[in-house]
Amino acid sequence: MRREKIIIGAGIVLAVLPFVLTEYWLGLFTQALIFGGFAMGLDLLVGYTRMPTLGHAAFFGLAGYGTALAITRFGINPWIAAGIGVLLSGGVAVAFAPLAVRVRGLTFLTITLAFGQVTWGLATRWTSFTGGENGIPSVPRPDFIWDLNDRTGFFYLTLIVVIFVSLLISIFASSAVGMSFMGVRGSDTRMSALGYNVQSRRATAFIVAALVAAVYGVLSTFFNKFVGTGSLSWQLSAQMLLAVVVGGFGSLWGPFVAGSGLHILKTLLIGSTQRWPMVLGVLYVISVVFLPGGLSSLVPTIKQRMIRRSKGKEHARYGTNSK
Amino acid sequence: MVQTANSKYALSIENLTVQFGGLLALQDVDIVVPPGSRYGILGPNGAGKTTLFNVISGFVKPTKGRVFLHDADISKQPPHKRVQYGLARTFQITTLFSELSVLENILMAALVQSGTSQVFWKPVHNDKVAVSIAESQLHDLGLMHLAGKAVNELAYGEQRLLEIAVALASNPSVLLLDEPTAGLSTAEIKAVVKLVTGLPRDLTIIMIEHDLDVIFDVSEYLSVLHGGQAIAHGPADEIRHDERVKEVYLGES
Repeated sequence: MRREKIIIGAGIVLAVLPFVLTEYWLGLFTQALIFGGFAMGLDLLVGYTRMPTLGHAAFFGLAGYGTALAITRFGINPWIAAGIGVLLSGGVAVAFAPLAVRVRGLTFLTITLAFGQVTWGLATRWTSFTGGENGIPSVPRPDFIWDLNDRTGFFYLTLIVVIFVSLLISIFASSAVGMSFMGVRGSDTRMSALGYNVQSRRATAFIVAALVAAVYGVLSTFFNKFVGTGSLSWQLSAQMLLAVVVGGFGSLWGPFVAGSGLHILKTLLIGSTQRWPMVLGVLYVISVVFLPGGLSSLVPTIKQRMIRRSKGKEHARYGTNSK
Repeated sequence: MVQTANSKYALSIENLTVQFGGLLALQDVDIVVPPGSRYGILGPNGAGKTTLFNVISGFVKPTKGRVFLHDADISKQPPHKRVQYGLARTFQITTLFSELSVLENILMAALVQSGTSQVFWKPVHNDKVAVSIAESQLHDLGLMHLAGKAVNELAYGEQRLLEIAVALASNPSVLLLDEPTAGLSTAEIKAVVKLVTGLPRDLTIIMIEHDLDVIFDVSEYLSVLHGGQAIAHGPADEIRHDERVKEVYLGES
């Protein structure tokens, strides 16, 4: 329950941002929240279950395209279109997961990369439907209780979605299913010997991470009023994978912070350098060499020091998974 | 668990052959294990003991032959389904979840028994049924004092005990122990033997073991594997004095 309280607390703190930030920075933070949330969902797959993917941008982008196409080509209400976008991604994930989870490690990485490239290729080449390289502009934002065309208004919608989805992820991660993901990561032979269907657990992690990516893909499309092939690119997948590595496997908050931070860094740097992938690479090397446990490993070291000081009371509550 | 009382054998293996490429790991092996017995599998390295366990638990597909658990043919079942038939096993190399606590390790097995392993909407520690199964398991084995510890804080001997405790939390009727005392000190071996001999008599235990003192201490029946073939079966006392067995195995050690 502690983690849920922290999420709500952090949400309340972030709610003051519109009062202290300029329009430009508020927009940047809105996007940062979106990518942070995406990375947090990916942590269930990459961190909890240890299935490194280079294709989850596909689910982010597919949901965005699904929504944008439903609105602009078929005149569907943006809220319903959002649902269609998420369902599209979810459906594709459900279809693809059973195939993908048969393989592991590098093969899994390659197969997800190939899958992502197929969606990217489709969006790029099917110009008459998807707009090709130009993407789909002028996607209207939905109507809401308050005006979403206002930066502050959209920020608050994003914040609410992020808090809600993060709470769901947090509870999910501490549930029996979440713990079974850690079990699959630790030893899948042992898990089958205990009666778990390992393949179905791996597929579940894949689909859940895809659904989270889909929700944020829709938000991103509404924020930009646009969806383009960049949202399906392997570069985005790689950036999110890196966010999980830099943030720290399985901590949830670490990937969130890293996912947000990387987006802000990218936006600030892209004005002065075209070499974003190189910066990413350097960051990756630095984080692996100097902080192999990721950002989140900084906190346990502080915590352990405190525990050592107050030793003797640790039997009050068992478990490392209850956070 | 499937009917235990009626079936003549807790486990029976018929005509089992396993071939890995050109290597014949097991050849026409027949073994029957009476319910509630303590059954030892003896044999030198490479005799096919662990392969036998992997076939019984479903991790290796046999080239030929069948496996029955209480009269049910489980030959075609994947490993995770065999748990529902009452089968549990430990591994030669400790395969505990090192990042989780001792209680959580047991909980992983208990969740399957309480039928709540699919629950995703509430924290696992709030699952009262599963937690109480796990706690009583630890309590029964006298390991409750370890509950809150992380597995990587445990001594190796404690890890081996936990390995057995996790398998027991699956509530098996047949338990396979793969070298439970490997790499342990004399004192730790005693602790494992004490735990195993103290288990309920309606549980059938099949054990691979290299330590001859342990295996003759614990088992009532033995099968001896050599070069993939079962060369002798019988009550432990007979096997101890069997000339062929002395030749291939006891003589060497």
